[in-house]
Amino acid sequence: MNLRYAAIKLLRAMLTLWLVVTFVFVVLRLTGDPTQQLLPDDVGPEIRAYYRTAWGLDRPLWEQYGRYFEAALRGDFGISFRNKQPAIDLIWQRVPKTLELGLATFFCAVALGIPLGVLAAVWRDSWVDRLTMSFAVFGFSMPNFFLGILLILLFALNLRVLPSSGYGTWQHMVMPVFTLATAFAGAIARFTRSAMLEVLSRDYMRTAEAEGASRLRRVWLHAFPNAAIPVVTIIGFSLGGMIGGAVVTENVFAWPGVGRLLTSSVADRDLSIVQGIVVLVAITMVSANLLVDLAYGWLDPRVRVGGRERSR
Amino acid sequence: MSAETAGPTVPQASEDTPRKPQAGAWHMPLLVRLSAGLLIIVSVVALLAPLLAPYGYEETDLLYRLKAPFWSPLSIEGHVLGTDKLGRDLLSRLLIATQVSIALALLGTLIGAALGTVLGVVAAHRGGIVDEIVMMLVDWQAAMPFLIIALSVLAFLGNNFYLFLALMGLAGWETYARLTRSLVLSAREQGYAVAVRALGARPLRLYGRHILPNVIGPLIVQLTLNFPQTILLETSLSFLGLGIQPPLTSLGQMLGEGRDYLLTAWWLAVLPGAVIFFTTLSMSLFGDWLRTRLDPTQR
Repeated sequence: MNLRYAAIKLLRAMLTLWLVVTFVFVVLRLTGDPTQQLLPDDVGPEIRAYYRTAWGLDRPLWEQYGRYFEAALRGDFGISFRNKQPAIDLIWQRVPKTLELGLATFFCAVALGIPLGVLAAVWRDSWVDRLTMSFAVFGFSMPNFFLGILLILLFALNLRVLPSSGYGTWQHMVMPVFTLATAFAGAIARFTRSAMLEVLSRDYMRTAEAEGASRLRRVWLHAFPNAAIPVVTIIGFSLGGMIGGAVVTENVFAWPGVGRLLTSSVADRDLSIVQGIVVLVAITMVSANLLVDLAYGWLDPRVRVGGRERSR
Repeated sequence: MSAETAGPTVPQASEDTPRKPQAGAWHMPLLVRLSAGLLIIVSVVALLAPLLAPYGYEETDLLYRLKAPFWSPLSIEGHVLGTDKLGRDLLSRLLIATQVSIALALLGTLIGAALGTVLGVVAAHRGGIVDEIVMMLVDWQAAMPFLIIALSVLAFLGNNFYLFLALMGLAGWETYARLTRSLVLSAREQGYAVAVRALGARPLRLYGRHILPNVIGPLIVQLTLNFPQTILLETSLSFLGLGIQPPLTSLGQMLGEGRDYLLTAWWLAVLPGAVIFFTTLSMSLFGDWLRTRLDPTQR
């Protein structure tokens, strides 16, 4: 792996993270005096002044920024004012539950999306292709909160085979995972299909056919590795959509993860928790993009040599 | 591929002619026609909702709460789709909610398109550090899930209508910026642009009168693909109770309210959900069709 390529990617990742942390600071300070918003309207000026000193708001702006940044590096986003615990602890308690949902979704979506996309490309214009493309369009247009509610109506209220919401057993996971995975699998299938179609029309595929390689071998050993590059990219890009989708889905199914914590904190304006989650999401996204970029360099030797090209 | 395999020529010819009715470049498959029809209906509703609504959308009637729609034997006269938990007419609310959601999504999409196009042109024209900054912002926005950004802004600044609208506009600007930048960069090198520049046209004229009209096709396609996503953003936030606030209503907000009554009155949630789904579906199908029409390499 070219070191310079990796170093540039790493630098950009750090820059993005720094921008996110700074963005949070700027937006927070743009709102004016946080004591106006966090304290009730009827407190006296001396109490306001007390909190202003306690939170360091009487300091010059650059000093506040320095403190804030230094605390953020330590993972300290302050105390949640709803239950008086460090925000980061409350967030960490929820992370495993969201990861559980996310990983299950990821595996289902990849396990469904990639084979569907490959088959749709190989049997272009067949019923498999039409089914796959309809599924992709459905997944793209269906709001996940509506899909979730339809599933609850059908499987929990009418058929009574699955619990409508909550957390605990594997039955609780079925509907949330299905809800989240539908859009994701559709997007993966669609991109796998178009990447495969492009590769299948290349000259080397005809060469492989002329050499007498079997169809199975041609598709999975010659075509698929070449199509995998754009597919990996799109999986990385879809992660953002999946995080957004998880926020909504956790709310529909009362799944006790980070997404539900985020929406309840936004509603109550528990700002330290919101800050912490935003930074956590940023770290996740930046690491995922970094991984995708590095995987790209590893999968496609041309990227390493030519350096990054910003086209399209 | 059929010439070698098929023996007689007669069945082959008869198979070829009816299969591809390429009557013209603008031939519409049935599904696309249905989508276009639905989009027209939705547009009419969005324009005329207050005139079509039989009741005011906030008009409560506590004596007639949670009444059933017309297909149920328990339905009552005067409320075709029944009433909600406060006795408000569901049809009227659905019409107004459609208007609000469509108007927000349309305004948001247009703001985003305008912002992104201008920044894309500026980045391509200036190059250098300006280009770097714009592209850095593009990368940054693409790196963060917008729903999370929107939620944090709503938490920090508090919810109000204009902020919410601004968020809708910020949702998709980066795709237009990236697209416009690359389109302008390649268009600038073409003969007509070089000629116009050589004639002494100022940048505003060069881009506004010559280059942008030439690259508008892909931008319009992007608009149609971006629109459903803006609807989904608005309805998601409103569904979570963090977007459009009562007494105003939107499709997402109605769905969010209706989900508490799934057991007794499922239509309160399903009807607004169906409107969202079919609108975004039609828009995606129409956008896809438009894209393949305007860009032959996509077939």
